[in-house]
Amino acid sequence: MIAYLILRQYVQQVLGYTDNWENGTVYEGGSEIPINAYQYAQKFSLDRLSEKIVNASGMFETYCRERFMPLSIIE
Amino acid sequence: MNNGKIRSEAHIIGEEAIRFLQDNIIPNNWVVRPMNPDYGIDLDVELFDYEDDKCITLGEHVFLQVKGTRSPNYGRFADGEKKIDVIKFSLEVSELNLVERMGSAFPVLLVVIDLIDKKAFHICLNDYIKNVLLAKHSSYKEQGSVTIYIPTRNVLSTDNQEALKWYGKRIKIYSMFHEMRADIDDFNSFNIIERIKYGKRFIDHYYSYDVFNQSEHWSLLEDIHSMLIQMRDNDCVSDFATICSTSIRIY
Repeated sequence: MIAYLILRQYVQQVLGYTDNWENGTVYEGGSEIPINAYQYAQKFSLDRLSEKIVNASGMFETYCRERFMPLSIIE
Repeated sequence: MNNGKIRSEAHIIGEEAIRFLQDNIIPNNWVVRPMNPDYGIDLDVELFDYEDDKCITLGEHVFLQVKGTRSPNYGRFADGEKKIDVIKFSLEVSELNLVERMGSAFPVLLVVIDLIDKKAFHICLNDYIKNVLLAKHSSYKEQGSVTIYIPTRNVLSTDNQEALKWYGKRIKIYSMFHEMRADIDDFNSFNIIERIKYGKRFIDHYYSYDVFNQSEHWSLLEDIHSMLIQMRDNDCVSDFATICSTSIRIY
């Protein structure tokens, strides 16, 4: 129970992630899905991981280009 | 009248360059396969590394086009206040066409060896074609040859094969990102409960990818790896330490 409360506090107060989470339920695709604080923390973590991966994959091309080939070598 | 068949100077220099590369730059535990017949790629280099005292193939390859010169053409380019030292080398457009056809699937490095000063420089031709030639000199194909400018900081040496290791790994990183993004797109069609279930599989699948073994190459890869490990160890929750330390403040 304490762990649940900690996570709930964490998700709601620290992350400020309360927009669609209320009384243990989220709405997705028009449906109401029961979810606990721990699942919400898992979901939040997965969202963060996904965001990090998508950003990194977008920057990878630039990183590759600039690592060994400065564009300033072009006349 | 000749007293026998003539060995051209170009062949002598070409072989000397390849021998220099093999003897002085490529580590002994890597495998070098000369491409024969040669249609523009000279060497297929397969990378190995030691794991538990055993020399294991990394499943990584780089293709090299090796060119030697006894009259190196060094120069300098200025970009605003920034000056860049380069070595220039003329390459036939037909050789570049081959690389362009290969796309980015296989990295092809041009390695130019200054046989006088015994130095080697590299540039990735796939990138050069895309980012320099096609972007800035789109009519280059109408020429017979093109001058390639290689920054002299792109050195290969006995102590520095960083670029070969990087390019060997790069295609695996591309591939991993491609797979990850496809999986992430799939996640978006799942509800939260399913997403968590598949998220755990995702983490179990990717955290041990060997591209992360050299993640010191790029800090963003290192970030992703540490997050994957954290989530694997904490049942799909990241920043668990932050959660706990924050909870002390809350209560």
